[in-house]
Amino acid sequence: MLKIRDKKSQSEIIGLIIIIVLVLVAGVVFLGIYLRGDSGVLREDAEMKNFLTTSSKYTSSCYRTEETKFKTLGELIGDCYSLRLCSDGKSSCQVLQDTYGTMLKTLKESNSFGLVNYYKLGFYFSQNISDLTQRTPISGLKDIEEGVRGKNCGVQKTASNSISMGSEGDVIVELAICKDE
Amino acid sequence: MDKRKKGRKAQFKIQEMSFMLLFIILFFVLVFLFFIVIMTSGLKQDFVEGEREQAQMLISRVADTPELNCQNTMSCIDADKLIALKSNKNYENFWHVEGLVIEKFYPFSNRTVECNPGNYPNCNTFTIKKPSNNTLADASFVSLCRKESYNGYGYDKCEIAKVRVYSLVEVEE
Repeated sequence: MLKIRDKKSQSEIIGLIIIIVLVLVAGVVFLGIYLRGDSGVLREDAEMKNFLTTSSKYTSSCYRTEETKFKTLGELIGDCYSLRLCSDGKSSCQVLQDTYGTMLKTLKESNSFGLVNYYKLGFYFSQNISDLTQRTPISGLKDIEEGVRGKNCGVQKTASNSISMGSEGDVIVELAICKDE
Repeated sequence: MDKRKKGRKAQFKIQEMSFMLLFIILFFVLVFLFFIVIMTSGLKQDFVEGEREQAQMLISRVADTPELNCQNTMSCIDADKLIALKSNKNYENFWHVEGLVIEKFYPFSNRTVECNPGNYPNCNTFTIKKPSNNTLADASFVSLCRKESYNGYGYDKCEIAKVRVYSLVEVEE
């Protein structure tokens, strides 16, 4: 009689354990799906992306006599990657850096994206645009950043624009900002 | 006596089972609520982002009309066309918006100088349609290009401008 009772209670305990295991598995699967959906990647800001696209069409002060044209910032990125000079002897990278520097200062002062505490513009090269983990910073082009990126960034936003370099790969221009909530 | 005991035991078992079922249901309801809270917190952000994207699309639609667009380039406004359009009052209501202003953003100037055929291109604002009261502006960046020449060669000089499209504010009753 005691044996039957023991067996019954044992099967009840096993039932309870099965339920707990099932619930735990369901929880882990749900968390896995939820975290993989975001995976810490920030959503691209449409307005910032629009700014980056527009800025790449900006006519710079870099003139190239053999092409009889002033280069756009997008074209200058390619020239900088190939270490080409402007007709006045200035480095393409320097003109690019100076122009983006003043442009971003204007952007910050105009509060176009709200009260920006910190911004950073980076230039990267990637042979495979679909795999951004393989990107490398472009030598000769420093990141343009201003402000202090504190522990608490507030609202963080990013956007990137890719410029094709033909068969060689792509240059990715990435802008990240921290602003007050 | 034995029958009565058995009956009580069965009642107790049923009670135990119903409590267990109740707790399991409660647990799943809590999990479901937790899931809903997480999902809706993202929904609000999606809505704001969606509204902004819609505003950007409206501006792109205005900028990409042949009357303003420069040589089939997306998000690019021809400043030479703008100055011609500005003096033609027929175009005020062409885009069905409550106001349309294009301001040069970079290179930046503190002083607002309204463009007219006399001062163009040394100006920074093109007011195609003056916004009325009770309007709200959506703004987006576009390229503002014009023809220039250097050493006898013509080229497109593109700057950065902000297009402000005004729409009526909906007043909630």
